[in-house]
Amino acid sequence: MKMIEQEKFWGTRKIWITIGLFWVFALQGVKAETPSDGFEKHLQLATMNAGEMSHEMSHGNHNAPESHSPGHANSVYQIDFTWETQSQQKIQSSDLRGKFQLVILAYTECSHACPILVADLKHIEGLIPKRIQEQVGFVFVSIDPERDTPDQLHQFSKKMDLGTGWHLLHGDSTAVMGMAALLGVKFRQEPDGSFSHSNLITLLDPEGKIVFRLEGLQQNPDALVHLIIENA
Amino acid sequence: MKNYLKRILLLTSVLLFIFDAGVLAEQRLQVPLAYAPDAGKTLTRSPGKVRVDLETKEVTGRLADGVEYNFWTFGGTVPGPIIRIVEGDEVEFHLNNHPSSKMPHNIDLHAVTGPGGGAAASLTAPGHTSTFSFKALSAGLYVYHCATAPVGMHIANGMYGLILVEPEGGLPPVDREFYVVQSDFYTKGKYGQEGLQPFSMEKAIDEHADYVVFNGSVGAMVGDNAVRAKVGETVRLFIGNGGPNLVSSFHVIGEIFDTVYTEGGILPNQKNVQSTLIPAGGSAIVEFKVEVPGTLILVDHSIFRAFNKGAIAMIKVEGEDNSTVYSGKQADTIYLPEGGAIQEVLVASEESLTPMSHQERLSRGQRLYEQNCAACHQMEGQGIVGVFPPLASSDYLMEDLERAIGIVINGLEGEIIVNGERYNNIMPSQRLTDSDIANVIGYISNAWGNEGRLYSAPEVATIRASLKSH
Amino acid sequence: MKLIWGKLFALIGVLIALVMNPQSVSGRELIKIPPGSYQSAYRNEGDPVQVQVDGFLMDALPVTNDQFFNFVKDDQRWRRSARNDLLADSHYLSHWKGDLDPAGPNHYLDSPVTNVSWFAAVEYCRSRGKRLPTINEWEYAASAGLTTLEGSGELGFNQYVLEWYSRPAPPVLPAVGNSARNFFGIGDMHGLIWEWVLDFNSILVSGESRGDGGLERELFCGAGAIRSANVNDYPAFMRFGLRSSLQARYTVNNLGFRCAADLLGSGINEND
Repeated sequence: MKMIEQEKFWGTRKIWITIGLFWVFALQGVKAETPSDGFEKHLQLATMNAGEMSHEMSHGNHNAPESHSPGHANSVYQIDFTWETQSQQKIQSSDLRGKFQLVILAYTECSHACPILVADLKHIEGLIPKRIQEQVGFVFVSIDPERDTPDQLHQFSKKMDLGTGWHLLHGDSTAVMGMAALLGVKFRQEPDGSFSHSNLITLLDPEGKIVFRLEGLQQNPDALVHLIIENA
Repeated sequence: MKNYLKRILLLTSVLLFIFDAGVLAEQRLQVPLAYAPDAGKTLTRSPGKVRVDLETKEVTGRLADGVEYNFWTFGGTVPGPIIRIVEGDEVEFHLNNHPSSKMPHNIDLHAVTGPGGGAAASLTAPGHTSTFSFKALSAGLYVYHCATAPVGMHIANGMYGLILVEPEGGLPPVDREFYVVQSDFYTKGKYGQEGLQPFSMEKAIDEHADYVVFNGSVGAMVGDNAVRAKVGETVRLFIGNGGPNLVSSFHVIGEIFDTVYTEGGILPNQKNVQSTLIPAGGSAIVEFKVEVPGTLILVDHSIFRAFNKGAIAMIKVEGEDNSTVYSGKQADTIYLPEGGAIQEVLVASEESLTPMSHQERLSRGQRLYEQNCAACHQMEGQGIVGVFPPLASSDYLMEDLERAIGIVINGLEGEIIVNGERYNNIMPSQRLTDSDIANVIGYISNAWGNEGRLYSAPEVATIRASLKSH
Repeated sequence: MKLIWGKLFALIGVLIALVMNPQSVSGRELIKIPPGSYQSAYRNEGDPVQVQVDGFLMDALPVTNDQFFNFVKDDQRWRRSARNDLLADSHYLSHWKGDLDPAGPNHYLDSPVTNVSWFAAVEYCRSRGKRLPTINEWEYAASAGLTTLEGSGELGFNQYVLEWYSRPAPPVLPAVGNSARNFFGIGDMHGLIWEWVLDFNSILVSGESRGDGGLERELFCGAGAIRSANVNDYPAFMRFGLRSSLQARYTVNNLGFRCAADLLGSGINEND
């Protein structure tokens, strides 16, 4: 009788001890792995996934390199440039707050890559689920302020069939240079008047922090879209 | 009720455990780095997610005795460390450029399939870090190097190393593994010219190397720095050639390579090889079993590089003799493969105009010895038994110093007996000034237990003149 | 009476000095660089080999720690403790003992100020009524030798410049103005520090310098291939290499700057 009672005594306690140990172990692991800011964990995942994916896609062919991590966690809207949009509205950089913004620096006369960049953005636009469409905007900053007047930008947006979520911005050379410096975009004007520039799509979060950089043309945007959906 | 609660608790615990294990699986293994001549440990793990942290740093260090050079390095050494991973690993690579660097640096790993081998993604300003990821698709022994413009200069200053991607399960086991990299250096001054030597772009373009060395400096793996093995052990060498220009005719004096993985590929495709070619920016893996004790000498068999530019390294093998395999004499054709005429060694040496003190002369003598004589007679004057006669406590030397001076001037061939051992090799004549000969003879006749005297330059001149008249 | 004459003479002296050399009032010189051309080490397909540069004004010497201290004294947004991570990374002014203490063990007050970002340099120059020089302006000014306009034609010039890269960093960064001025009258263009330029981010090379022959169509939309125009100009390659590794917020402990200005209508404010 005593033996059986002893067994019973330890029986249930054994289970509880095992469960307790599981909890201790589990919590330790969770504490170590989850950063305090859940969004930042997704950021780490984002930069890693882009690299893994881009390398699994091709073996030895030309493929855009892994994007550098943003390097800082501050809003680019702190430098509040003034712009004029394609609808001749005067806005500040900070007016873009409140939504995710996908930003490119390009110009309308560009015949090769810029149409592809715009198409890439439209492709991403198509991948955003309807319920969060209101939370995502698209920004085209012209690096050719001389020719890309607000009117010219308006014509362009019509030609490329760009919707209401799009802002095409005209700014002075200081604003353009400043924006390029903040986003890490390289560009220069050639002697023949054309421009050379990085092919880069930058994702800003609703506060204006850089959370993703997609370098190159026709890159797989899945990680970027995933990031938006997760945090919208 | 209690039962129900217990079940829920058990279930949540199990779920958390699974999640935790999953999260743990995301953690990356830190890849250890090994510094030449150490080759690190064989890997038997399966492929997974790993992380490499590598630092670029500009370091002033010794290129040869009395010669300093501002090296640009990976990991603070030339060559950079050997990185060992497994085929299939997914690598997260962190390149850190030390804040004290003047230059930006990046890395091209020949093991990476992707633009520039990583160079495009890793250009890093001083004091900053770049991160990129790649998957190790192919096993093999690959070179990595800096590819920042001007690329030749970054490589020439020492920015190279090896990355070994082992096949899953690891390479077949051996007793010893060593990591050696050959490379060439180009300095403004000539070989041996003292002081901090700047890089010479002109000589590098002309491919006119001043130094050809193993593991980043003259004598890095010689004498006390030699690696060791025991009789009966199998030895594997991972050898790289950082270049920038010269191809190596790699040979180990006293051994035949039992197996060669030509050009660092993963197929052991050749047996019984004496010398194997290692392309600049390439590698090779050689294996051999050491059968007898003695010193094995690694050379670039473009032989003037070995004896006049520093391309010598050593493996000291200890253990029991095996006289059927080797009786005690080594082939001696290496010096003059074409005949017995004594050739002159042109060694430029500036005549010192200021008179030197006794101590200065002995120091100068030591310097000269290390640059011109130590390659054969060794740093402690012990020579190599049966090959190069000793100078330390040498009866042959000390019984007639004037004869020794004559040998330095004119060279020597034919059999001699030193300390009871026979030597029948050829010593080339040395083109040294009279005062340098006086200094070096002064040094050797007063070192390592010898008790001689210091000759003067005029005395040497007299000896030289009297020899000419014979 | 005597006192008044003395003051009058002093005033006349100052007026003469102003008229003769309007830029040197506070002792920080601006040099007038005449229009000209130089051979760029990198150029795009279709660009002329010689790059034309308009005349402009340039600081004779790099901006010093002392001068930068005067700047942050007045503008507290640029003090180290007020650092905005968007505009300067964590090493900003790390060599100073304190916010308002520009001294430190590894430099003199008269050494060029380093550990400053592009944004900081732009702001400093703007506050002085000046701006950063462009790449073309900087390279053109640097191409002059000691006695002629063509440095690369002078014996030993290229080797002298190249040797800076072979030397380790000195334990104490020297003060400005201790090397000979070049033919334009500019000093310390070589052998002291790297320098920020206005359009540092206009170099469309990927960091994979062996592929720079064809402008990567994937990464950069543009006119054509970058070619090396002068294969012997290694220092220029290295300057291009460094510039392309930078982001605007970066600070580096051997990267400083000097200011420039347009010839006409410059509202130069010399309250250093």
